[in-house]
Amino acid sequence: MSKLIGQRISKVYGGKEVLHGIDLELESGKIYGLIGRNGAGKTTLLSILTSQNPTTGGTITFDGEPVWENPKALAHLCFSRELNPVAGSSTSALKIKEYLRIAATFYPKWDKKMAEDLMREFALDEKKHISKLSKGMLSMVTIVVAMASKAEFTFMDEPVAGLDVVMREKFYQLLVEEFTETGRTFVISTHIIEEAADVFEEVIIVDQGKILMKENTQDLLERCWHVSGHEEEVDAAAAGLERHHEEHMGRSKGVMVMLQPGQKIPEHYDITIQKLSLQKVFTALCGEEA
Amino acid sequence: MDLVKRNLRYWSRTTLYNLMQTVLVSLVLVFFFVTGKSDFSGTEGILETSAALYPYYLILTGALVIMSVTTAFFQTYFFIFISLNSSRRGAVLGVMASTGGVILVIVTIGWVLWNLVPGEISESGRTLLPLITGALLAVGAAAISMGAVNARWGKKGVIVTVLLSMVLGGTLGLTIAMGADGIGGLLRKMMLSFAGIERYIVLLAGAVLYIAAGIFAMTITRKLEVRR
Amino acid sequence: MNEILTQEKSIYIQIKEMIENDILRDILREEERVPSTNELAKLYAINPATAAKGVNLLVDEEILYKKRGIGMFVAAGAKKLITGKRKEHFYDDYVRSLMMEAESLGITKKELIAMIERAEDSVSLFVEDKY
Repeated sequence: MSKLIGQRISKVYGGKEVLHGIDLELESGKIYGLIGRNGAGKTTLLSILTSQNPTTGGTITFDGEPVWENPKALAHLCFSRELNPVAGSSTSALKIKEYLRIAATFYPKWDKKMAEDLMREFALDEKKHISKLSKGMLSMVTIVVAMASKAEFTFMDEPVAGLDVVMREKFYQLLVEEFTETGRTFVISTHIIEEAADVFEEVIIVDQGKILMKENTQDLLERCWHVSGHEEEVDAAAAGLERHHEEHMGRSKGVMVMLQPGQKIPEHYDITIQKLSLQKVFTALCGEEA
Repeated sequence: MDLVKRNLRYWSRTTLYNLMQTVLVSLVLVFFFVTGKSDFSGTEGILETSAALYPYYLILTGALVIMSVTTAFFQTYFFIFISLNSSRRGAVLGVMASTGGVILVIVTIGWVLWNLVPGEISESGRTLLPLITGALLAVGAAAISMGAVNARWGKKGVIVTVLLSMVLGGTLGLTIAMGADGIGGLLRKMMLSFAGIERYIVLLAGAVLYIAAGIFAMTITRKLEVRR
Repeated sequence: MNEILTQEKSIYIQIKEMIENDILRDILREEERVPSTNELAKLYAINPATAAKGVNLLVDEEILYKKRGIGMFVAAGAKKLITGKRKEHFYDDYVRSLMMEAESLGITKKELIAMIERAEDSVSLFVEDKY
C-alpha cells in the first residue's frame, strides 16, 4: 500500500505563515474529503503535496521518496487545480485540445480514451479556447484531467464549483464508479459539504493553516450530537463532555457535543438529542472567528 | 525512460511547427530580396544566389523565432507544464532540446545547401558554419536566460526583453534601408568580417553559453510558484 | 433498494435496514444474491467502505452469508431472523418512547390502552397475517 506523507509542512507567503507545521498521511485506496473555510489553506496544501509549490519548511514523500521536482514520484500524482483564466493569465491562450495534450505528456498513465469519452459526455468542444469557457465547463475540464490522469493519488480542488446540481450528482456517480473500478485515492476539496459527505471515507478539516481533524467520516458523525432543551438540563447532560458552538435563546440552549470513545450522553435528562450532518459539524467547529 | 519519450513526443511536434514557420518565412524573404536585386555579381543566377543566401535568411528568421517562442514558453507554458505535473527542471530541459533542435536543423540545411550550390557565397558560408552555429547558440542562450528571468521576476524581465527587441528592430530597419543583398546579404558581410576570429572558439563559446543559460534558467526557476 | 438516504441515521445503518426491508418485502428472496458493495456504492453514490460496513453487520447477524468468489446471499430463515430481531427492538424503538412521550403529556395508562384499542380497529389486519 502506497503512502503520501507530509511532515511538518509549513508555508509562508509574504511574511505571513499560512500553513503551520502540518503532518498528514494519505493512504492508497481511499476517498478523502478536504473541507475548510476560504483562506484556511486547502489549495496551498494540495499544491504543496503535489510539488506544484515549494514548502517553506517540511517534506513530502511518496513511498519514502521525496516528491519535490521528482518525476518518479510525480508519476503517481495528479493535482487538477481550479481553472479560472483571468484575462492575460497563462491558461487563457490555450485551446482545450492543447491543454489536454500537455496533460497527456506529463501524466504517464494518461487514458486518452477516457478523456475522449468524458469530453463527449460533458459535451465539451476541444477546439474551444479556455478563456471562452463558462464556469461549469472549466470545472468539467479539470474533472477530465483528473480522471484521465489515472494517477494513484489524485487531488481535486473544488471540482464541482460552477456545476449545476445535475452535473454534480453525475460527478459523484463518476467518482464512485472510477473508485470502485481502480481503487485510486482521491482527495477532494469542496464547499458543498453535505452532498459529498457520503462519498468521503475520511474527512480532513483544515482550519487556519492547521489540520483540525482527520477522521473516518462515519466515526466522526457517530460521535457528534446536538443536545438541546432547557439550559440547565443541557449543561448538566453535557458536563465533562467536549462542547462546541453553543446557542442561546431565552432559557433554551443548543450545543454540539463530541464524544470520546467510551463516553455517552446521560439519558435521564429532559433533552433532545439529534444527529448532525457533516456540514453542521463543520460549521460548529470552524464557524466561530478565532 | 518513458518520460523522456513522452516529452520528446510533445516537443518534437512543437519544434517541427517552429521549424516549418522558420523555413517558409525565410523562403519568402529570400525570394523577396533576391528578385529585387538588379545586379548579379559573378556567374551566379537567381536560383543559385537565392539558394546560397537562403541559409542567412534562415539564421535571421530562426533567431527571431527562437526568441519569440522561448519568451512565449516561459511566460505561458512553463506554468501550465508545472500545474500539469511536469518538474521545473524537465520543462527547462524540454525547451532547451526544442531550441537546440531548431538550431541543428538550420545549421544542417545551411551545410547541405552550401555543399550543393557552387560559388563564392557557398564557399564562405561553409567556412563560417561553426561561427554561425556558435552565434545561434548564443542567441538561444540569451532567449532562455531572458525567459527564465521573465518567469521569475516578471515585469523587470519584460522591460529587458522590450529593450532588446527595440535594438534588434532598429538594426533590421537600418539594414533594409542600406540595401545590399537585403538583410541576408548584410549579415553575410558582417559575419565575413569576423572570419578572422577562430570560428571554432565561437562555436565552443556558444555551446558553453547555451549550457550555462540552461543551468541558470533551472537555478532561478527552482522554486517557482504556480500562480493561482 | 431505491429508498432515499437521509441524515437521520448513519448511512451504513440505513443501507442495512434497506436490505432488511427488501428481504421482508420479498424483493430479495432467500438464497438469492444481494447487490455487491460496489454496486450499492454506485447506486447510492456513497463510499464502498460505508456500504461494506452495513453489509458486514448483516453478515455478522447471519442474515446474509458470503459465497467466496461469487458474492453475498440472503441466508435461509433471514426473514424470520429479521422479524424476530425487530420484535425485540420494538420495545426500545417504539414502546419506551411512546411511554416517555405519554408521560410528558400526562396521558394515563388507561387513556393509553383506550388509544391502542382505537388504533387496532383502524389498522388493516392483513399486516398480522403476513408474519
